[in-house]
Amino acid sequence: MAHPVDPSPPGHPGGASEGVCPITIFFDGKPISAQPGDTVASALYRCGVRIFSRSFKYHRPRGLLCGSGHCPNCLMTVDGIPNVRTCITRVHDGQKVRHQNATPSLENDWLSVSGFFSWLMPVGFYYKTFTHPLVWRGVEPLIRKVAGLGEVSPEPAADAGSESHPEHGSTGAGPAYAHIFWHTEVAVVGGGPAGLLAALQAARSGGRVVLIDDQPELGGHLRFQGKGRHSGEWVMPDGQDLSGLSGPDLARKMAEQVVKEPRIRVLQDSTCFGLYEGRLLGVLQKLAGGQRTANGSPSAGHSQALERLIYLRTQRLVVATGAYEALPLFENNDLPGVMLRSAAQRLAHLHGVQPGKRAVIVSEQADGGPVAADLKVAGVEIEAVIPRRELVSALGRKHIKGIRTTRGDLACDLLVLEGDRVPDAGLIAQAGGSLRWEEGQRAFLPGEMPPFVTVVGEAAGIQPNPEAPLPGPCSKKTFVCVCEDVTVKDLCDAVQEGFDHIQTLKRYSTVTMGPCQGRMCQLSSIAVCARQTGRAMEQTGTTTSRPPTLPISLGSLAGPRHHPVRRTPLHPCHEALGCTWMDMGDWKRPHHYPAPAAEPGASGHGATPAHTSTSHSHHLPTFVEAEYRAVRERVGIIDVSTLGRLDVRGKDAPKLLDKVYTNRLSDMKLGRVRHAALCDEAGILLDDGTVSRLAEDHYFITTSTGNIEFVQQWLEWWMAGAGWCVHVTNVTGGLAAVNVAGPKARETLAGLTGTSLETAAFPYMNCRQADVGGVPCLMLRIGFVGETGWELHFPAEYGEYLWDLVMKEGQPFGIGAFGVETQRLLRLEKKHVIVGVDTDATSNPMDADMAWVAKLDKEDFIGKAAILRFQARLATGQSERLVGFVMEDDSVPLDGSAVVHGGRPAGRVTSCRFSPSIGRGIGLAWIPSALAHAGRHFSIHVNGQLGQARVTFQPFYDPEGKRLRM
Amino acid sequence: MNRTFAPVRRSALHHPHRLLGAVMETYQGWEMPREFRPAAEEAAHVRSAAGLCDVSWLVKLDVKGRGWTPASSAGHTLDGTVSRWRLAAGHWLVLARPEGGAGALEGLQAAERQLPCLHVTDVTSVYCALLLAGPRSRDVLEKLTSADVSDSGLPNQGAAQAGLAHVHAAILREDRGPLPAYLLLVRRDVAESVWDAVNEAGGEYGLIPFGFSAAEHLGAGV
Repeated sequence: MAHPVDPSPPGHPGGASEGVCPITIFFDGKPISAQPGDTVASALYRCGVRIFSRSFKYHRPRGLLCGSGHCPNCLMTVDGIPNVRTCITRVHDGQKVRHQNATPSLENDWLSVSGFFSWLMPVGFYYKTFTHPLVWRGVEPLIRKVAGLGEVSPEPAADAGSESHPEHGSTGAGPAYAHIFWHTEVAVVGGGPAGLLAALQAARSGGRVVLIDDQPELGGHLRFQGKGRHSGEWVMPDGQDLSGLSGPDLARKMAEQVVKEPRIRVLQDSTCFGLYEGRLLGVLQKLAGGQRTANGSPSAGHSQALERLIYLRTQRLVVATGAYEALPLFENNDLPGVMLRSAAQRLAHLHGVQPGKRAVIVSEQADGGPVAADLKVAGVEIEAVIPRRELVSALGRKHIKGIRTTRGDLACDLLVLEGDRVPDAGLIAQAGGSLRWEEGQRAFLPGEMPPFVTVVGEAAGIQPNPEAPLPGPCSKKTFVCVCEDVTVKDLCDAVQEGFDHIQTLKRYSTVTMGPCQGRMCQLSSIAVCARQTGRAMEQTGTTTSRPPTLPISLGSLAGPRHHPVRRTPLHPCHEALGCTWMDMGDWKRPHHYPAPAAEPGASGHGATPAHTSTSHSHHLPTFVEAEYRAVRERVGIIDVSTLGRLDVRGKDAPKLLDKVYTNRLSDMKLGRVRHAALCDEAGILLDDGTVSRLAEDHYFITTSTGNIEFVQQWLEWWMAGAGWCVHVTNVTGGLAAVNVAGPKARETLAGLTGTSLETAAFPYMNCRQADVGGVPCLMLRIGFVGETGWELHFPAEYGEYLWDLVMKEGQPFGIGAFGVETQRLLRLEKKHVIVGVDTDATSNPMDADMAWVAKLDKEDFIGKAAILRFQARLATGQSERLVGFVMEDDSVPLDGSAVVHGGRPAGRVTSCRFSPSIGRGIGLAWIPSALAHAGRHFSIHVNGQLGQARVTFQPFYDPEGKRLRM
Repeated sequence: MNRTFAPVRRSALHHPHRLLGAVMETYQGWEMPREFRPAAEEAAHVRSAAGLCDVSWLVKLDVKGRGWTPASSAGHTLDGTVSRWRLAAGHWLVLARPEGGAGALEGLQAAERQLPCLHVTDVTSVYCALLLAGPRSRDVLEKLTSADVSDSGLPNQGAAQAGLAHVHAAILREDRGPLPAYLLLVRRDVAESVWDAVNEAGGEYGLIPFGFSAAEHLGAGV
């Protein structure tokens, strides 16, 4: 059980600073050395990998594009988990990275031939082509192979979960996915400078803050800015002036302050993927199987989970998600070597990787702006700086070789683009905030905000984009959406076909619906739509942002596997006897016990329900036969602790019970027990059980297994507002219960209690509070199985003790434990109906031959009016009736068999077993009331033939009930 | 009948305790684990990380009805042996060590007679009670319940009813001096399921099971 409190994660340097042991990762099986602080993508790039993925539809080569976890280009399978954004995933030693969606390799992908057939795949390809189900059935497996992303392994996720025991998880490494619930006053989404400042300010004003950042390090864009150049005034909430520092230094200083602040919980490597009702944020934290050091996170327990889903309820939300760059539109804009500015800067500054040798920069600033300086420092030769409107296309097949401009061709191996800045507004839209087009800044910016939301930093407003987004040429090689391979041509065609609203355009073309959720393509698709429809950006509007704003794994949503199991207090006793368990709702119940060893064919294993073994056999399974004989001939004991038990107190308890139960219970004498049934307003049978009167104002009620919560709520519902003095307490878990029944039941119990069990002193349908074996019990003399017997209810903690005592006491009388299967046979011989088994949601007491439970002379009760109508209907012969039947031949129909009348199905068997006392199959069936006359015959479908059954209204066993009263 | 019997009271977790190697002893009339490892070690570990102790032997009384005010309004713990928790309007839970239990029950029964509609039900057997204690206990709890168990959401001596490991539970905050501690009351039939879930959730925080001996070292609490 002992887990170390704070184990040092093995072999992982954690942050970028510690350069300890060398790191080797494996890419498609090949070892690749990486540096501390690397991401998977930066390590691969350093080793010369340029193609990181193949596109969804056409298998076009794709390289690093955004470097910030926004685009789909770097998705790979990492340690068995598909679709991992490798550009923001840290390396760790021994990491296994595999490419996706390419055969045999990323460099040479046979499936890239699909690109030649792009003319066959117009927008709305699926809707236009696969209109016949047969065609779809034939083509679907092929498409499934060619299209798509990573593959999910059918094995449990990766290494961490493999040794865990989901059912009894206290050993091993624990589940791969964890859930946790946090509550905070302020949640800040985004760990850039604006988010860090907001978190510090909120903490300083006394709030508890959770700061969420999806990057491996705090600091946002400051981290990858060149040294010595950061401008602006930076005064921290504590007065410390950090102005004049370089970007990375500023980021480090601010991050240090945040980590030091005890009121701030920092969640790194964590994506806030949605805002839900009740100010609930969904946050997914990558834990890398416990290998991370969770830089400064006070919650850093070392879970072995790979991912942790944090349900974060917050009072205030600060959106500091910043802005990202969108991909500009020009021909071949998806070629490897075409890179957004942020990716080039990250490679150069964060990882010391030269992004290329010879670069062209697309920028509106004549000198190429800061990125040009950064690239020069990294040793990249700047071939040219050109404005965006001059760029025509990128040249090359697997990697960029040059570009075509309006002024001629230029050779290069790197094209760095200053993309349009787009505020990351997904959460803002989900919070109910509006977005409006700002012509000045050429961007959609947040407008009205709900009062609990504050937007700071670039998410609130950006440096104006120099130009409005250019819609680009209507070409099949100009990609708007790199996730789903949607081109400008596709969008133009879709608008032409009539999908000219941005929302319908989205649904038809699937633009903005891929893994990037519109980050790369929303703005440009709006621009294309606006141009093609002749509308303004403002009029065109935006698509709707819904959670999740980034892809998350289904495993993380499902969380750790845990299903509550309900065990009776006698569970260990049954286990000791080697019973075969069955599930009854959440309860575990003994289906049967092993037959006595002497008898051949006995088996305690294999939970085949007894009656399903054969339908043409009058041989009971040995174990049922043994258990049956014990009860009918000697004494049997069954655990009935799963029955629901309610304690009802108060002077108005009789009034309440008379109202909700169909019987009259207010006139019961103390110490009496009555069978009682509940119906709803429509007269439908809901539950039945026993009601015992312990005092004038105190009743003890049993309900059927699994129905207790419902019955309790039902009673409380009908109490509500009545102003009665009555309290209902569910005492189910607190009471063990056994039924001791059989001709020797009295002898068995007599030695354990001072209370007389003779019929004169303790008649049938009576109850007594008595000590049995020194344990305070409530004894009910009732007879579900048709023999003299007592149901003992007693405090659960005495369960094992009293069971063992009764078994020992009954040994001389041949006591035997019996399970649910035998109990069902025993009760069937008494023709007792089990509500929910023999009845369903349309059954009423009149048709179910239980008219005796409804006291129609009672002033009123729930369902009375409806039951009166059912009573009247009985006479018309238009209903179905539940009747007992005896088979006229040797067959024993299965439960659920069809009743056949006039060659048509006319009803069904609800329960049927071979009856040892009759020597024939007996059962209960719903049949047309025309057939429901004692002695009348009807047919049941048994194994392809019709078996003859005879109707009976009498119990099959001891019809007068003499044995119950002995 | 002049036979005498020696009934044994067992918690729902009796067998899980024994599987973990607990030393069992009669405590407060129940067979309870004295310790799973040396008690001093257990107590030290709970003080530095987290621990889980079965305190099902606590007497639990369910009090329903209007008009009842606990005998002493001054303190939450009435005399060191009895504590009362307000679960809802007109619904209280009284917890007592067995030595205080009889007195508590008598007091309540007197109130029951005096007040027009007050009912006391002994629910000792209905609930399994677990004491989750230690500086990391809240971290463990946050993995199991969506209820707010922070200092502001559930201050010391506060009570909440919420889902816990997919079952209904009463979560009662009862710190042991400076040590955060929670009493978790769940229905007995799901006790083993919850015990497993808490232990599993606590694994990463170093949670250990501990016995009544170490629990007594941790300080007062009912």
